[in-house]
Amino acid sequence: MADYQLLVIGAGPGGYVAALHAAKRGMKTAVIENREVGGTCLNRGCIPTKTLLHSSEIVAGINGGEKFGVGAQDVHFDMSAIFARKREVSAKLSGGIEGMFKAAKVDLLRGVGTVLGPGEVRFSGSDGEQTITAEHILLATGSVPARPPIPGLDLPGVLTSDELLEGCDHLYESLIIIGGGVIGVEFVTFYADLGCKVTVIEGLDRLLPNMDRELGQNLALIFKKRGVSVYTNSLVSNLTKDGDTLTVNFKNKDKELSVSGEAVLCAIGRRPYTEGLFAPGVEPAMNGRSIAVDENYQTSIPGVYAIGDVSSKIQLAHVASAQGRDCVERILGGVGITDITTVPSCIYCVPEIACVGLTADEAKAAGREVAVGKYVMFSNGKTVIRDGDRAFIKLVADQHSRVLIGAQLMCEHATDMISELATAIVNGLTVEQMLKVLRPHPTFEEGVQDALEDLRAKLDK
Amino acid sequence: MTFPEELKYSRSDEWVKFLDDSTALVGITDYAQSEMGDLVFINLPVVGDATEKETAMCDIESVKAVSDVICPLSGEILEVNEDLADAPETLNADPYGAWIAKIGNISETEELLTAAEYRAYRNC
Repeated sequence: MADYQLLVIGAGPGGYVAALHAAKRGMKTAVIENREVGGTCLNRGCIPTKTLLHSSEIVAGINGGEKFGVGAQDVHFDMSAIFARKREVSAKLSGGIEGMFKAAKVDLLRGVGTVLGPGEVRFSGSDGEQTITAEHILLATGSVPARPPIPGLDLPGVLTSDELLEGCDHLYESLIIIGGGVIGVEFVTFYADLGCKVTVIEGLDRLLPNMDRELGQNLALIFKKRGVSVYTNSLVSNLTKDGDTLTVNFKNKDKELSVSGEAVLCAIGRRPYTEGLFAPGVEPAMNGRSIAVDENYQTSIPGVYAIGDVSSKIQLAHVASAQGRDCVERILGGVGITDITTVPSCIYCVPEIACVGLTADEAKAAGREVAVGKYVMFSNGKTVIRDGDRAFIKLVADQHSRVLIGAQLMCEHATDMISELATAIVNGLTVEQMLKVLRPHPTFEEGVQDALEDLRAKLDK
Repeated sequence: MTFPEELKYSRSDEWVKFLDDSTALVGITDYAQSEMGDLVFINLPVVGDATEKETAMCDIESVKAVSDVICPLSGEILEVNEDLADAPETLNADPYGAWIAKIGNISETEELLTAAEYRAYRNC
């Protein structure tokens, strides 16, 4: 008999959720983890960045308090304390998961796991090596920041999000961020709110190039108002260092430009992490750098499954968690309850961004006839009270069925509002069905009502 | 309010400046900008997109409302005035300098008005 029914490698949001779910479903389960429990999400990603952003939001709130009749003198902040708080939050949540493992009788094995073949993993921990057998093996080793081969990207002072989050409790006077995607724009928000001179350099034609155009355009406008320098269509050629100053040289359309600063953050994406995961000769089929899986998360090695960033096209914590539960259900012969084809994604800039489903452009490219309703939040009571930046809600519906198929929000509390729209999309609700709901006043949610009214009018045109 | 003689005008308040038979700049009129008030955002069209006469090619926003900019020409977007993305207020300050898009390969044009006709149409 095997040691375990399920052996998970990696205790991030994919692995730990899968392990707890498997235990709940009666499987004898263990998790191998060589770093902190909670993975990137809890320790080097979602949670630490949001903790930092909460601090910078307080600083921005105090500094902007005069117009609300609240003034403060000698406002100061302590980067060491901000980063200590970040570590405290991560440790608290990570400890919570370890507690849940204990309660669910999931064995947490501290060390490194290497797949030796179907049903067999070599575990290297502090007590040496041993072979563990399992009926099913689930790989959830996640991803690490990518560093493209740009000359000078290995200079001291050039950081990835890992290094910035783990070591740098120092307020840079100036910071250059390469990459205007999700990771980049959240760090822009944090450092700009603390008074750092921030430059962001994006290779494609706008910030957040994978999302609806208006989001990136609006964000660039807001960033520039806050004193951030934004360069799009800009490809970095190399980096140089002179004394304490780093210089990034880049090509902006046809012009050669350069910008100098104290530090550089490389935020151009993340790559699947598979180092040491497979013994020589047992490597599974790959899909580029990702582990290839079928619809049951099964890799090319029998009984070995993969979920989350290491195999998924979409690298998000909640996708990994949903895949984890779904994978366990499929191993047990069923299927998970969550529709993982409709994925909300959130960005914690100010105002927040949250999207789900198709953009109008994506739907049109797929040959669908759509209508778009939009509400700009200028006359939304809560938005006016907060005197926020330009904010909007955009909804996309199928012209024939009148079913909601996409939503793009850029407004305060967008990340808390997106699930209403995801609920509608997953359940195929029409605009009229959504308009049956009475939304309370005054709320940011009223903007959804207004966008729905506009969408209905567009559908009727 | 000014309405330069050399331009053509649409009933939906856009101006057209023909550069040659099949190329033109399109913007919004002084009347349009003054009706909309302070403009705070423009959703620019995309180079390469096809335009269809009497159909929206982009939208602009004041603090009061969002308005579609209706393209009076069927053709293709050759260039967009990217500067407007950062400075939409230019549409208020200099409506005839602030062109929005350069349209090429024009195949169809809606019936356009002269400056005098447009002034009479808008009664200003």
